[in-house]
Amino acid sequence: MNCSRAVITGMSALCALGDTEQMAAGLRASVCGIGPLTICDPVFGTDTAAEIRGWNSSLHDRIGTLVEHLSKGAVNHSGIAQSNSRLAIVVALGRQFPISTNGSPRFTFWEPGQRVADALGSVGEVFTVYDACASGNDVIGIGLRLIRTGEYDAVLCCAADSQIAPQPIAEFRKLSVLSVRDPEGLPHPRPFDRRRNGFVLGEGGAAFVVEDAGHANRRGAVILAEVSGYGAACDAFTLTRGHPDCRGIIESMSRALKDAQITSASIDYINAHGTGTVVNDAAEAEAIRKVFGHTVRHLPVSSTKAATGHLLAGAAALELAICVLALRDQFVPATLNHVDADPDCGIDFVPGEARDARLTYAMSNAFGFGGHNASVILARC
Amino acid sequence: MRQISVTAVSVVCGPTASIEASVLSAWGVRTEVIGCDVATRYAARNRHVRILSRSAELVLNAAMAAWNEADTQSRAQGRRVAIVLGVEPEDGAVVAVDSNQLASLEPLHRFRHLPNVPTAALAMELGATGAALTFVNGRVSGLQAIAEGRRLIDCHDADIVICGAVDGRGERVRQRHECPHHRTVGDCAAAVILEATDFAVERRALPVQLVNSIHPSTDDPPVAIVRDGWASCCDCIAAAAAFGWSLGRATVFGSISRNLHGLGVVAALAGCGVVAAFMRNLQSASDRVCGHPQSCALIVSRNCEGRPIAIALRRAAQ
Repeated sequence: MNCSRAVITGMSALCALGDTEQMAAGLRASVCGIGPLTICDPVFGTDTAAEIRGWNSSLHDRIGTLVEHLSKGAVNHSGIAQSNSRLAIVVALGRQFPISTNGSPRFTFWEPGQRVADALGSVGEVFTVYDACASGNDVIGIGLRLIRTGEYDAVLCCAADSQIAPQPIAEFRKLSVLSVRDPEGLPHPRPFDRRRNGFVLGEGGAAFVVEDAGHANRRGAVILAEVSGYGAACDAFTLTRGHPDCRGIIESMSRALKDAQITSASIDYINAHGTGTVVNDAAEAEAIRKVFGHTVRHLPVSSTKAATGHLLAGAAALELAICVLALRDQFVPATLNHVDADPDCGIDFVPGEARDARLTYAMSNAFGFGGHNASVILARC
Repeated sequence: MRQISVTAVSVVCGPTASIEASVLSAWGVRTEVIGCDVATRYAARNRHVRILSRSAELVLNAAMAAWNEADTQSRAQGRRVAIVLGVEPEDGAVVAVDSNQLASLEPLHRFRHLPNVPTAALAMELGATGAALTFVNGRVSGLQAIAEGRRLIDCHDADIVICGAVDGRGERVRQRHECPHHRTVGDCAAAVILEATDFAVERRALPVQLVNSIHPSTDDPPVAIVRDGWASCCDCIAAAAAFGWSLGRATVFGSISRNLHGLGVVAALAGCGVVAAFMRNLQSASDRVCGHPQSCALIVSRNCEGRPIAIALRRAAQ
């Protein structure tokens, strides 16, 4: 196996906070991107969402358009299109839902990825992946393997989703995982807060050009971060509930650390999956405590879903982009609306305000429906 | 580079894919036809798996047959087991509803038919805690699943990988008397067990065929080339050239994919099923057709508007 290092040389993100640089500024200023639901009428009392304002795309192909927009942005940023490189494309996306229709909409998962390949004139392989909320980290993992095995010089990894539509909102409400306005007027969602009550749906995603470090150096590319480690594990327990011992989450973080060949003490920041649901946040906090031991008290852990909403299949990619920005700009984004911490938790959830920090390694966690867990570690270059 | 063996293959077809099943059986592949009822042949031990989708049921049957044939279970302790599946999403099962029907919506119905559910179901049933990946890439998904399984072992991310592909749309479409594009939609799953060869040899498993898609030895021809999905002759020639293989003594098998796909749209068989077929009968089939044995096979597949992908197989040393 070729043990080459993989680096990120291009990135593009889009979410309720805006594009990549608007998002960086918004996170520094601890701005919340959640607002009134305008894409569709309120459903079962849910009247808020983290929509991309001013994004004029067809509601019938919103996800496909997002994938194309993000991919184009990352490729332009990296300048990889101008080089004669072997480029593969790995795309993850959710199922497009119509805003108002009856019957089964025609939707083909692999078409957006193919459209990206056609637009780029790429002759490399196109992969389309779906691993629920862990998709964004899994596309990076697949890209990492394609580079480590020497099959490709660079891989365009993209994940995007938009499930702000009546049917998904109704389903999530019935499953009691969607946060609603608090009768006491508390802001929501509230990840890791003692009074957390679920997440708010968001839309968007991120795309990255992950490249062999030697190849990037030879063509003089600007390196944004190194992809140091990736770990994936399955709970193999139930579809909706994680293992009671958090074994999948622990395993994914441990494997990522082992892959990066660093100890847990080296991690300077964790962008948690932190959906804001009662069960998931408790499990993730427990797993972090088990993996990081006594070092956890000095380790900032934040969930940015209170600012961007939960992007489902696009969430992990967006949060990895946030880690890249945190490493670049040397700051830790805040967990918004986190006011009532569990005293037994013993974790620094960076409540309220973002803060400056010296970061070398950042970890991004993602855990999905079906027990998929994936963690990625980035290093500052 | 780690050497990789295939230690078992299995195909399971539902009633609507019985023609495909007979073709595969004729080619010597272990193929079973199961009924429409959930868990007809293999009853899941995990109670959470029993209520899932047709795709989950099909892939569970195929994978468990391969798993048991490989006798991997008894020796899998301490080994990292990963799962990579190519899945044709059950679009027919997911009906978008209008606002009047939201109140009566069964919340988990759509989630049970998400593409990653067959993968999760198999992981739950086997207790496999390695990576669980799902490709949704049409007719090339099966081949991509095998290639990714090889990478997982190659990168030491797994010791054993259950690769497979499933298309569970057929039964539901039959029940609803719908035939998209005026064709029968298939109903089947295929599974292939990949192992690091050192592990397979250590536990005395019988490797069926090496998967060697990246660096095939150039002294191995002649080659059997299998066209699958929408792959054209030009695609096969380009793929063989990319592997540095001469076409001088190659046998091009177009018929198996024609038989498999002529009557049905069985995306699951694209890739995994065809790989399974050729691992089983590469020598005898090529003997019969062209009078000399083939030691390597190149399986080439393509989506109708996509790029061709290829995977190479070589006979394991006896």
